[in-house]
Amino acid sequence: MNLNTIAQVKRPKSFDEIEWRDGHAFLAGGTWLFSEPQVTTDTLVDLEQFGWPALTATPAGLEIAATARIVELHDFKGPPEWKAMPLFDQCIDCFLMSFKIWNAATVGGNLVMSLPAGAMISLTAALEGVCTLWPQNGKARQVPVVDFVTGMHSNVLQKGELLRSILLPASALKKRAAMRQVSLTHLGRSAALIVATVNDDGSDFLLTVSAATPRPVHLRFARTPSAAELHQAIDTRLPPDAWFQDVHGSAPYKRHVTFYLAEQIRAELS
Amino acid sequence: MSNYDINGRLYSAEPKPGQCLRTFLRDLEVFGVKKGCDAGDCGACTVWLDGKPFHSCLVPAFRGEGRKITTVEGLSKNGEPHPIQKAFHDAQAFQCGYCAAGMMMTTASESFDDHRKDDLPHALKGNICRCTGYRSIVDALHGRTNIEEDVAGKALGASIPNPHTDAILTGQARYTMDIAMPNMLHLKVLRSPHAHARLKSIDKSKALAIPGVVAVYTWEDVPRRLYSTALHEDHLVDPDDTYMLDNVARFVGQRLVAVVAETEAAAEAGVRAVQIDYEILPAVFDPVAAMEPGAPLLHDKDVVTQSGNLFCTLQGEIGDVARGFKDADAVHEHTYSTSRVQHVHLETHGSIAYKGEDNRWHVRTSSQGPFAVLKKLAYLTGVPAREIHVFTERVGGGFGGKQEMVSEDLPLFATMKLGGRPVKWEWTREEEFIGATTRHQMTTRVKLGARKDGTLTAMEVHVVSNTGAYGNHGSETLAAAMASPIAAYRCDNKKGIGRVVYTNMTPGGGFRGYGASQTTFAIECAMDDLARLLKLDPVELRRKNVVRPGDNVESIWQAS
Repeated sequence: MNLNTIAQVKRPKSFDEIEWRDGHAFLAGGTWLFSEPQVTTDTLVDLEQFGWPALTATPAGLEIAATARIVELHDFKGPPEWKAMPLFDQCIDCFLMSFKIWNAATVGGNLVMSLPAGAMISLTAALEGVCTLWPQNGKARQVPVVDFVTGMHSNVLQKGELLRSILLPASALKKRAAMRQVSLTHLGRSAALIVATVNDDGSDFLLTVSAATPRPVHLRFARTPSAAELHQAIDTRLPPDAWFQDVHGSAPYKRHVTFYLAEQIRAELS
Repeated sequence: MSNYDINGRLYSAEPKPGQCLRTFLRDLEVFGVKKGCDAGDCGACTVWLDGKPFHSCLVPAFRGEGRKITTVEGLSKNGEPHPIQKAFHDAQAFQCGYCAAGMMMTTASESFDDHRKDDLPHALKGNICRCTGYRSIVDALHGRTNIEEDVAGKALGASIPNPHTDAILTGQARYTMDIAMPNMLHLKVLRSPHAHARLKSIDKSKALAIPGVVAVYTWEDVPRRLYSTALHEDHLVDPDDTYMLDNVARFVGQRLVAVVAETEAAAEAGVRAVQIDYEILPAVFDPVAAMEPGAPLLHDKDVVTQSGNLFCTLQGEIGDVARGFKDADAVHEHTYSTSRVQHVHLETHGSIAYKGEDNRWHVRTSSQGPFAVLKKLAYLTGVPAREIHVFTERVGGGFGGKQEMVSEDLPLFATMKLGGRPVKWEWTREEEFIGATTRHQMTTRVKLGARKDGTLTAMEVHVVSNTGAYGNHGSETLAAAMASPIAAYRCDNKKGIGRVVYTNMTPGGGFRGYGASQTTFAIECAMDDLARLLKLDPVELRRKNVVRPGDNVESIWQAS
């Protein structure tokens, strides 16, 4: 929709050009910004001119620019030893949004929205992603995705701080992976999106619970756990009041399906 | 100035800083690009940028610069329809046609490959059609033909195509807002943030000081005449309980102040600048609680509401229900409830009012009852009906939601005050959910008695209908609720009582089925439950009791 309170669009070529103040908003894909009135915003700061390469594959892993479009991740073909790559499409398909929105929406935008059901949060948290943040003043800092999102619509970003990129380490991309997703309605918003990764030798089993909780949660095991160990670990880490309750599913429902789907994933990866 | 390539034509134009591509294209009179939700969900505004489909309501207009923009108007080449247009034509993959442009721009795009075609529910997530149920759209995508040739003498009973097909599928059909008029003014309203409040004072000064704001109207400016927003040929069937603008807010979302400005942006800023001092009043939301003595009273000015918040009661009995239950081998009794639902016609409400060269007042609107609107507008403004012309061109869906005069009166009032300049009021999707009407929420208690073989001996139905803050279609929908669903079954003893109650909720209105759907849901659920109780097949139970040829089809009133 028209954002009628916007008086100016700034299109800086570099981050240093930005003098941040209240009323500014970073514009990446714009798919959330333009979906509702933004009456407290008067200036859009367009990130497009930075010209960041969307996806950069190196021996260290995959560097995803915050401005990478969902469709670019969808179309990405990486080295065959990155066995976890099918997760990209599996998580993208969990979006409530149309495939047309993938052409505009960005990976960084999804993280910064910090919704429990943000499928790129699930993906990058499960693949042990690390965010690079550019504060307004000071040096860039690194924060793991699992710590970046702190709750419903909240994250660690300070005023004017920019999410620059997310690095998925090659060590995580090389793991075997499995995921499950469920929602109350067919093709609806995720009520639970559960991912696990594990090394070929059965070591470093990492379960990531998302959508069912206000923020992504890691449960790490030295080796693939037994059904009872997994159940016990979830129960200990996520007591009944740790689940996210909303119209897309009650807390007891999300807790129930998490136990159910986590066990399916464990069995698949065993 | 920036350069834009739209369907191969070059335009030199500058979008406003926060403008989205959808309205920018429409400002250039590319009207095939529609507004449904304006929030990226419905897909009615789908266009291609360099061949890729985008929801143009979410695209900052400046990002269209230097890219090849294609809209539905650019689909056909050299007068030849695009294969998707041919497919939509042959399958008649539309009814109102409002979604068709976006539906075709999505399914004709390169990224809509076989993989997507194999999973249409997923692929069409971003395209809402409220008319077809997608059946004919799926037909089009599978190359099926649903039309027959229009042959003179053989047309009767043949499936001939909609005569407006070509206009709809090329983006040429004009819906309510698909028109450019010079000198247009824009109207926006301030809606109540409170469920029940009295407006102690309204300060317009800050709004009037905003550049571009032309006028601000409150309840003190508009005619103080009671009417009903419901549209019927006979206006007496609906209660006169509504003012054009009131000094009492009775639901969250009720329009309270109208701001007219040179631009929509200025009108919106004006709305934000109006200051109202509210006296918050106690509110009631549950219709049963609203009938209790001492409940907050919604209306004190209408004869029909002398009995508290009870707007109307309908009751009757045929046979002897008490005896019918005595004769029953099994009795099932349960309460069923349906929730309020919004119509979500893809084209929102909206009107453009202006003085024509013929010196008459014209109201171009999106309505299911323009002639009933005309009579109401004549009554409200005091202008003779012959001097007012209310018309529709193509309407993008209604489903009962447009059997309601909610967008015509304020633009007409404003243009009459402002020398006949065109005044446009286009609703947002959010306004539809908070300011338009809904299907009435009804709570229905059903009691059924039957013999062991399933023969019904007695039916008793109690309905409580929540009409919200205004009566509107409340009594007429209750009449439907108390009629056909009960008359569908033959039973000697039937009794019913229905009540329509005012509460501080969004008003109920007309909606497909018009009240009968709610009671049908309750009675059919009860029939299933009764079948379980009797250990009978639910279809068999219905077959035994459903009306037959020759029956005197009657509900709770003796058919004469």
